[in-house]
Amino acid sequence: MSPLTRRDVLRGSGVALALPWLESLAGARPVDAPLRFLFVMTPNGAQMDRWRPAAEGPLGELPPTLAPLAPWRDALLVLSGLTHDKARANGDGPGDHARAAATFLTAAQARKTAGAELAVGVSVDQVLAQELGAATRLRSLELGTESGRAGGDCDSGYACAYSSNISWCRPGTPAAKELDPRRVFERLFLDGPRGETPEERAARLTRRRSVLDSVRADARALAPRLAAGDRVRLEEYLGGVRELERRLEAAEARRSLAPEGVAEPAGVPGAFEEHVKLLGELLALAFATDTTRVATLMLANEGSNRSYPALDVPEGHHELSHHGGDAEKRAKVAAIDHHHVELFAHLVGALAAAPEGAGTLLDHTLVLYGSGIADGNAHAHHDLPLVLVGRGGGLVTGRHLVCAPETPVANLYLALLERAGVPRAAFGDSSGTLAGLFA
Amino acid sequence: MWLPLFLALAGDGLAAGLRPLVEGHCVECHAGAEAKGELDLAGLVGGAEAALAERHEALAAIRAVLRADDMPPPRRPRPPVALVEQALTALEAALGPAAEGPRLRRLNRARYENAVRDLLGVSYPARALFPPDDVGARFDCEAASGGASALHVERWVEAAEAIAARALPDEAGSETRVFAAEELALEGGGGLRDGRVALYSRGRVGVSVTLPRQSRYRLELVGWGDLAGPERPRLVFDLDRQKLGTRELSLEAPAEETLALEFEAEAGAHELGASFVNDYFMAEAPDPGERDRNAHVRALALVGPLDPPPETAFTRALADELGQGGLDGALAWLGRRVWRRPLRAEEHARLLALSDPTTSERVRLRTALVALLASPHFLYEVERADARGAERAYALATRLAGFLWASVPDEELLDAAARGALAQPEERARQVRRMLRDARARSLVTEFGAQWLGWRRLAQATPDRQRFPAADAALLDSMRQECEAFLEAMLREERPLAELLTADYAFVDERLARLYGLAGVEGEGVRRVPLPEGTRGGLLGLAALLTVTSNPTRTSPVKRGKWVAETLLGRRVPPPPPGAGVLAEAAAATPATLREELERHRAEPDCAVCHAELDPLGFALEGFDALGAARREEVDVHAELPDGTRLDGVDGLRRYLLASDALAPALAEALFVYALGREPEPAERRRLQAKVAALPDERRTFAGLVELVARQPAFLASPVR
Repeated sequence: MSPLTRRDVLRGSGVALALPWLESLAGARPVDAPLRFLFVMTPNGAQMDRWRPAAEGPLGELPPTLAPLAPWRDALLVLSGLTHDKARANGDGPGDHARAAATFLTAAQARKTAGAELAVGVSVDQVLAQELGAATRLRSLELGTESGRAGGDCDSGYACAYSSNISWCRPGTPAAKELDPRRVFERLFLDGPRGETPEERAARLTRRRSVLDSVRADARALAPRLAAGDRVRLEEYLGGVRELERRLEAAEARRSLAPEGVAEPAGVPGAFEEHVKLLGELLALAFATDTTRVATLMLANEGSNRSYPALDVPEGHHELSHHGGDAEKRAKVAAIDHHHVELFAHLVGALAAAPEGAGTLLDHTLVLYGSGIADGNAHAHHDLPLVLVGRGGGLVTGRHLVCAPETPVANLYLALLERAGVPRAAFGDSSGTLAGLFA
Repeated sequence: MWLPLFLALAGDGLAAGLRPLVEGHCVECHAGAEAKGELDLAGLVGGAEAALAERHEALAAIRAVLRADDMPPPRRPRPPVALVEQALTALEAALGPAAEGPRLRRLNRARYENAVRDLLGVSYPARALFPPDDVGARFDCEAASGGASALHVERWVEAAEAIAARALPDEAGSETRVFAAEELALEGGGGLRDGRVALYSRGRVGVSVTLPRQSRYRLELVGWGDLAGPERPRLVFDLDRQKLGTRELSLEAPAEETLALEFEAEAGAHELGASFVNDYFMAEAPDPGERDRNAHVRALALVGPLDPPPETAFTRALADELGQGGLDGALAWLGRRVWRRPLRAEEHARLLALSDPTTSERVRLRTALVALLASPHFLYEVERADARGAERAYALATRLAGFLWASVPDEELLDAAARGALAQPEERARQVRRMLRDARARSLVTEFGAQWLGWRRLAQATPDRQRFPAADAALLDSMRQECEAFLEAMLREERPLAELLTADYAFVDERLARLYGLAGVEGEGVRRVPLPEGTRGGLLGLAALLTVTSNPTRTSPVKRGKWVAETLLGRRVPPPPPGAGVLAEAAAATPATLREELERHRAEPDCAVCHAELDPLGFALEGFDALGAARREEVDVHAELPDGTRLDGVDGLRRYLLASDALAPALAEALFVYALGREPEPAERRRLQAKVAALPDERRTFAGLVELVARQPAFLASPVR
């Protein structure tokens, strides 16, 4: 096989990666495939009467909103009764959307601030990334479709950072999202300028290593003379430098490159639907090539007021989620809920179509899809819409599990951490480990 | 951290300091079991001193609301300043200094782009490539919200490498990169065979390359053809799928030839390809060698860059420095330029040590430039806690350039800092005036103005195309242009601030004129036109602002009212109380006009507290629809404030705003937040407002307020206390 630096990657029309490439990965993975984790958030809650299955136990016909997942019903575990108590006000007044997003993967109470001293917690995906990420080129991948709001505090005195991020690598530092599929692709697979010779590559990596040494020395020299609050900033910077150094170390040993025939996306698609589908395919590709094992995806920022003209919903999503009981508004919100699940199903399909070991990538992945809000009108944070998809780790699927009321979502996260080989005594507001998930 | 200090100092001072304020002005709402916000202050100060000292969170909360002037709530009478100060002093003594939030500000994307352009002449799309900036309380350049994740650092390092390569491109002559057949990507009819790609029907061979800089290059193809029929095998060369030219093969195996084509391209990633376009197969031809036409490609080669690297102002200046001061002199010049202060000896030595002394000076400087650009000294506005003298002057120069230009200091400003001139008020004023006259001051419009007034949110606006078919991307862009032109005119022409509200002209192009119902404006590009006597004119009539304060399908008097209150009147609009936003079933029972629904909203006393003040401001603008066009049908635009003031439509609102004279203080405070990256402390706010009130008429302009903020002690002082 010729040196992969010269492997050409054709630029495609940009809308969708061709799925047939997945066949080329057949048999590439060892039988003992690693476990992957993906967390997907949809904003503004969901109409629960169209989400929740009628009874506990084996899944029959899926409720209307979850119907697009029917082809993978036997890989589905619908969870009811889980609660994010820390997304409630608990004395802080309004700001449910900011809290819903901030708490979704952290199970911690966000500090109410419009900008200064953000603080929530480390999110479960980042805990996983810290432990599992050393084995892959990228520790984790954070994707989304919307950047932060471009003005003002985003929700009743909470900083915009809270509603536009679900991944937090430190209690005060969100893990930045990538929106552009082309950049995601380059980050995943392109290791340097195209057409680079091995000698040039070695020289480039050596130069980068020296630069990283130099800037680390700059930061270390600076730190002692700064005020305490500013040292946090510098620590964030140094964390990033360390991560790049780690990747340099691994650069010679491990190169994750795109399989043959994959078309590189051209940029951000104009249509929301195409954008989400493309990001979903990139996630499947990232997992399939073991470029990373931990990822998050925000379908939109929490509180998103995007309109969906293609669904005949010209009003904003957030605006509609405050339906006040109006039947027409509720129907429109349900249409958006369904649409989001449809787009998510495209991602599930990509995971299910990638062969791995004796089965598919989906057999070795755990995906959590849901929201930090149940009914958007009441901003409820109990009995949240959450589903697990995938059979990773021996998850017992094809059923609806009803948990006791007020069971913390954090208990689910503890169970996932334990299964990942990253056991913790506690996480967020956990009261124990959620039992009965795995075989 | 401050806990031991706290326990040491807590004592009789605390309750005594708090009691007069609390018992006189707080206990009406915050006492007993029904205390508002579950904060029983009467119990707090009435109990044991030691118990009071333990209530850290409550005390910190009280201190925070007192500092921010958040309590008492808006319409309640203010307590005497002396009592508040007394309480704050007692709290400070008990709690210790507030944990200072980060003051280290990093360059946001806009500033990064501008800095790289101004320092090095390189145009680098940071806004597209870096993660989005989080917005703090109001702006995207606030210290507290400028965090950095691993992705940020990754992008910064990649950017540093790319920018240095572009700023100081390789002088070395052109290189030849050969791509053998097995490295080519094949599309269409063909196959790899014996070290060549045989194209036996329509097919393309391609290769991806990264070009180091803009220049002419040469693409070569080494191969041969199978000749048959009247035509030669024809190959179409392309760059990024765009046709460059055509060449023909005229030799057959075992001979081979080289086809070549020169082209011009920008730096960056590209695709090159050659397609075989005239396949031919005639099975019946008598001569077997005349039956099949094919093309065979043994290799593609890229030669270049063919042009010598261009001279830029930066490379010329650097060459001068090299000539005068050698490598050391040039590095010192470059370092001061990029880090906005002279390099320390240790830093200088470390940067030189990054490269081998045998490499050329240009390459050594390029390597150092990568490290300079990736360093926190470039990425962050750094001022150490013990900074004195020249270091503080450089930090001030950086703050001035960030405020006025959203960029970095130029040589003149750095020189002024170096010679101590920035310590003199007259010299500072002179520099500020110079910087305001510079073209870069436009950032006050495009960065500050766009965020202060809110038209930056146009990027997220999605007006319903069914209801508003005219609302396409082009119209939204025209709206943005109008705002920029208007605010820039206010800045450059030193118009009085009141004209922000009273302007009798607008900046429109053809499509905006159509929206506004103005005749006689044709073509692209906004230009100033007089407005007929009527309601539009000034900020209240800008379509952009009216659009971002609406919902996709309808206007929102609440959003517009909030915008007027916060932006033009400088009021803090508190967030809704818990449980707000849930209109009871009554709302669904009877469909009503928007005004009626909101009237019912205001009937609830908990809601009316704020909405009685906000909604009328929005209703006065109901004459404009969700896109900012004047409604054709009759609309009720009468509104009344709780104090009885009537606002009749836009004119009424305009008169009210002028009479309240709140615009100048509101703008000044917004400029303060933008300039310093944080909110003003109460004392700073009071000082600023006093200075605004004392401004002579001829300085009550946009530029006048900018200069005023740049004179504030808070701006001049070190950011770290």
